[in-house]
Amino acid sequence: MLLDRTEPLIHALIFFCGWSAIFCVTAIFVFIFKEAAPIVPRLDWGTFFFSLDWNPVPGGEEPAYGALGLLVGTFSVTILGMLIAVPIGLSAAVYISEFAGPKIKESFKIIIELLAAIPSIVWGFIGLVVLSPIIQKLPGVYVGTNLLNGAIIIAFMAVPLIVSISEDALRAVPDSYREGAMALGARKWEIVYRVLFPAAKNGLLAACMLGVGRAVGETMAVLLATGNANNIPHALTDPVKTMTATIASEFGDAEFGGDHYRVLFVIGVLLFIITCAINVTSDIIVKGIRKKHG
Amino acid sequence: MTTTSRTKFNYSAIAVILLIAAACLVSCGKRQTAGQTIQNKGSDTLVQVAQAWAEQYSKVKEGVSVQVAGGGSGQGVKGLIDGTVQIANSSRAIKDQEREQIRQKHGKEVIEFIVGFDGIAVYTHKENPLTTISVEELRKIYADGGSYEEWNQVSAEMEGPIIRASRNNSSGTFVFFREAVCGKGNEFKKTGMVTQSGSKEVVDFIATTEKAIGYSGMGYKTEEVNWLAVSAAKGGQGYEPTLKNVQDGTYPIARPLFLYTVGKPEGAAREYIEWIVSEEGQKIVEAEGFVSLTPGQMQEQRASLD
Repeated sequence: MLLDRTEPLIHALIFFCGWSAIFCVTAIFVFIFKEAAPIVPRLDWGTFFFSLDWNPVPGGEEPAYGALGLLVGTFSVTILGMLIAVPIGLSAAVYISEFAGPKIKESFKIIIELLAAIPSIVWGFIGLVVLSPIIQKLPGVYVGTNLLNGAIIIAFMAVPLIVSISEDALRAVPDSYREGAMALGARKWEIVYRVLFPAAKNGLLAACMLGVGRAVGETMAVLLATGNANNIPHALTDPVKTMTATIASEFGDAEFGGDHYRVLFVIGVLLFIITCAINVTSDIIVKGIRKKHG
Repeated sequence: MTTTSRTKFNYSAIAVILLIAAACLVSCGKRQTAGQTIQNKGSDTLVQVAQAWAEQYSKVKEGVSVQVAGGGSGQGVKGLIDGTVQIANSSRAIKDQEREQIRQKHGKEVIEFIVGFDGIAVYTHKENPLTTISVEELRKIYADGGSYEEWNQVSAEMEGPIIRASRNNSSGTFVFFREAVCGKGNEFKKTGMVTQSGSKEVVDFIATTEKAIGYSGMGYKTEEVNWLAVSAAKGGQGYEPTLKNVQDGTYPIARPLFLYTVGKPEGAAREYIEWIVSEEGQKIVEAEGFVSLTPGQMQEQRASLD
């Protein structure tokens, strides 16, 4: 009786929750695009994409919005961070799922979940206070908060995500695959490399893509750890300025509704488009693989 | 269940409405008893000091309320010209053209009061042997087109790259330092400056970075950093950013902070300015991180009221 009456209610609730997610994403996109839109036809896009002259509050010249340094900053931190995080994350996932005993497996999983729960501002502080003096000891390095520092911090933040998703993907491979390979005389390493990796490709790729998404959008940690200098890095230890850190540090002082404010929203739209593109490509790749195998 | 919660909701709604009504009544009542209102507008650099003055003054003097607004020094002076503002705050001296406009429109002279100073210190790491730097050398380090990239260009005994620390591009310190060092209408170097989000962060960064140079308020000095004596020209006498050097104007990267009125202020405005240039008003200037007037300067400013 009770079930009969509550069923439609719960149904409606779940329906509402599901659609609210879609509604929120659309609303966010509409909001940031609406704030950015007035400057879109007026903005000098050549300068925006190809100039290093980011000077929104000029002394005498016209304001300049050259975001090349910020774009390069974001991409360099992301790429270097992923070069560090993906091998570590995948190896850790392989170890936890294939090599570790049940006790170690459980405690490792708990520790990794704890790592994932550390707020990004704390990671930023670790970059600023712990990592920066260490990096400064390297020969020829003068500024401790730089590209390498930001990338290491981003890697630390992305590793738990990559480990837990790729571990799930590896565990989803049926045991019959492992047993079959073992019966053919494959060694443990060969099983991982030749059997499990191809079988779990989709999940592993998704894990890496989510890591990239996390790195591109990260704000507080890179704001503290990268040094915020607008330029094209020539060395791994040059300070860089990212898109997210620029929005975070300049938004509060930008005149409401002014050009600077709108350009910061343009950067926000760009970030949104980049993360969307990453998700869609990974989706297409994953589906393509599925089709080939199916 | 539903009925009780609904009644509860009604009660709280009524309570909220009553509270708002009471608050309105109280504030309206206050406004009615306030005899006079002084309109005070201008510099964003000064807006926090101005608000602190207004707040403290409302405790000292009942019946006078000071309405403070920012918007920039130009906005304050514009308010004087339009007659909507009694006291304008400005972090720059009034222009001759603005003076003339006021003379024509109101038939009175602009009266200037100096109510404090703002000094920006140039900091280096404590291992850095440099003690004095000229404004011209700072321009070569910071300004767009400046040639200094290595410390050995500044002094033969030093080496390594110059790591330039700077502030957010919308901070008042950033704008003031740029104008004082690079010259009016000039820009900072476009790339490579390490941006810090606050005055303290600049000093912390320099404390941990041996090759760094940076600028920040003089109140932020710590044991970990040196500040440089600054000379107007290379080889000239350098002055450290001390209270005394800022007060007597020998330290070059400092500016006086002004109030302007149209004609000699009278009544409430006069009393307010008299209080600002008194010891009590000057204490607030110091509390907000600026340099206060010397007792002699206080006397001088008070004298220009008469």
